[in-house]
Amino acid sequence: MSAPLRKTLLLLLFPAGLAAFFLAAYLSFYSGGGYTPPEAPDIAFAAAVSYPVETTAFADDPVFAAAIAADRGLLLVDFAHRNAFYPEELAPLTARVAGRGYEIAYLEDPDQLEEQLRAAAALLVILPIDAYSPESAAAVADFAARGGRVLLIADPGRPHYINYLAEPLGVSFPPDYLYNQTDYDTNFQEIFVRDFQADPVTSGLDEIALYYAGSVDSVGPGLAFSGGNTYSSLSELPVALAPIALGANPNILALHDLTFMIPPYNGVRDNDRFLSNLADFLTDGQIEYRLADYPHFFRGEVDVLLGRPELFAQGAELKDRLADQGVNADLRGLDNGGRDTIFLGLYDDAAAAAPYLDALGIYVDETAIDAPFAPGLPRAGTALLALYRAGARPVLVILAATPAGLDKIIGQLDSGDFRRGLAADYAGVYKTE
Amino acid sequence: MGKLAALGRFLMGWYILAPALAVLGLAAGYYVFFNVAPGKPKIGVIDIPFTGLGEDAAAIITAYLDYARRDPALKGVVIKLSTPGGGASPSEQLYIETRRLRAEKPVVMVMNGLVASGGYMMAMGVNHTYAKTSSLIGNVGVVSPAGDILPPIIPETVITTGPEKLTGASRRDWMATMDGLKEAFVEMVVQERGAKLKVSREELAEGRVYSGMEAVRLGLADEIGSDVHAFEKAAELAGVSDYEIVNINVEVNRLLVQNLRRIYSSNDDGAAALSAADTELLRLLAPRQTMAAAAADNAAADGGPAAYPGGPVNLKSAQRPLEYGVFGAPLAETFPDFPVAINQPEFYYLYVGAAP
Repeated sequence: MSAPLRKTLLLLLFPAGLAAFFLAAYLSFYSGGGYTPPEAPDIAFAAAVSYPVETTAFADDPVFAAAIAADRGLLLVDFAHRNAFYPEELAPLTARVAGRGYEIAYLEDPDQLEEQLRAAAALLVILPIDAYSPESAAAVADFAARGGRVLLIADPGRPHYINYLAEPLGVSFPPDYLYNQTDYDTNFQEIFVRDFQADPVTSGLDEIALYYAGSVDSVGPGLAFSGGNTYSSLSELPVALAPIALGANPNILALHDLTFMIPPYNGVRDNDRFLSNLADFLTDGQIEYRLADYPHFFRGEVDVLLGRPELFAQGAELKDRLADQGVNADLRGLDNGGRDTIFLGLYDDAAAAAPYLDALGIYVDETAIDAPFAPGLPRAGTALLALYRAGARPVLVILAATPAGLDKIIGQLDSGDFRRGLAADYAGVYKTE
Repeated sequence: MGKLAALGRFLMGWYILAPALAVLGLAAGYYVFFNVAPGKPKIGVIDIPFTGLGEDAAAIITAYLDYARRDPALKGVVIKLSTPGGGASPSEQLYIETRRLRAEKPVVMVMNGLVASGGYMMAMGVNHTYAKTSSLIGNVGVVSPAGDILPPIIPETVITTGPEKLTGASRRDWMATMDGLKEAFVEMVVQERGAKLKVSREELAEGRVYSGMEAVRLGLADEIGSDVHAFEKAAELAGVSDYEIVNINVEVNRLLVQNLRRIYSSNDDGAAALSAADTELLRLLAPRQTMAAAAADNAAADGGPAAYPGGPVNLKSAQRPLEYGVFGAPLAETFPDFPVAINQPEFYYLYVGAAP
């Protein structure tokens, strides 16, 4: 090998060593050929934008309004059991009820339930947090049995112990909520309901939207059913569930959603029409008042007929006491035959009230009172109360052995003590001496 | 002299010079390879123990991801994550940043105890995921606090120019917006997981959390595995066969403390010389460790003194000039006379862990 070549080769040894180490290290540490990033997918965020459905209003036309306005009624709204709603939330419903001639009153003392139910034709119970006592539940059941309309509303999104009341009425609100992940308004808990059973409550409804609704178990028929891919959070079985159902009798309606009636949800689909139907339900009942409901069974002006002129003082006293309870009364000489009436007299005047007493099976003779509940009661030292109903017209007959006896029974009517002596729903005989 | 000349001739002889030059070349190769480029490959580890993804946590993690992206020695990244998710915006930021890192380096995730909601969204930005059989994974969806159903009344003491000026949206529009976010989240999972995904959109939108083994079966995660599997996968994707593990949390914190030490040792008032990123990190990290402890750690690592002269750095005095001025102050303090409460509404990609 020539010297220049040897020198050149020697000089190449340094870079060769460098390159050799570099190559060996690289091959040792980087054997895979480098990183190729995956293709980053384009995510169509714009397509994910969601919009709520349009809202519409229903032109409410209460067909029963005129008739019901003449037959004064009262909707009692329970607000005595720490109910989980704001009265303002009910405005769309209560406005419709008021538009049908009903008054709205709020129950604020649970101990006054039975007393205030005497004046009511309908009861609205929403989300009571304090449980109803068995006695209160029985009073509501009795109210419904007499024709009073009862609307029970629960909502899965709010606390409640409504089942203490609902179950004695044949209804139960399971602790579930309904959802649909493919067909909803703005959220999976906002379901559409399209399957309705024929009933005035569902009249004219094609589709309603419920917002965080639950199902209702009832001995009565379901009125609306979920369908399609709507599930219950409890069962997860694809079975039709009823968020709206009647209870043990057709006067009890259960609804497992409150939100749908609160603005703006009341304007979605047929919700506004459904509200009108609910108002019709509440105001379309025909309650059978009992004597114990005095004086609430009077619908308007009351004619007070005296058995004899000497009872004018008693008549005037009765008129005043009625006025104190919000009932206007006037002393009249003749039986109008169509107006609400009180017949006030002594037993000797009973013949004037005989058509009403006879209809009740009550007969007054010279010495005794014969009634279905107690034949042969003595006249002396007693007073008789009897309520006769001719259709919607109430006639209350008040008889006593003496004017002093009338004074006493008028006082008992005013205080409510008369209810402790009732022998039947329609009559009572009281000792006055 | 004759002996020295003979020694010189001997050393210059090819049989001595040749191996010497070769060894020198090898040494130079060693130096260049390990100190100039490309160096021994490193797999960085970002360790995120169970934490909610709020704005602060997202800023810290973003700093880690940014460090991983910028350091050329890091050839791949492993993220060890356990989180129930968090705010929508922080979660989306972490998804975007992770995806950005993935575009340059392989990112592998170890899904520890819980990777839910916003955490799962972040996982959509990585190349490969490992779950434990007992990991809880998924919970796709959105939650948001809400007020009463009836809209708030605008008080007479406030004048607005539109019905939604105070609330920003009606309840229904707010819920529709939320539903859109859910759809976007679902779309993100569907697109990122691609053909591997074995669940429908509807099932995803249920918000379920799945066990790790179920998540793998359904294509929500890739494999059952642990940290070592993740390191090997990251190395494989990066194309490296021998590597060392670097804890990115430690590296980022160490850099921060080094910068602090430089500033405080030169000028007590020199805090403003910190970079914006370091300032933000200091703000976020300082409450979690005393500066003295950080300094000691740093000094021990560097072989330097155990602590700074004068004792621990006053944390408050360190933070104060580094704050963002008025930024971040509570709104009630900023607008003390404003007549209505000022809130910060937010959507969350969050799993609250309610007992089923």
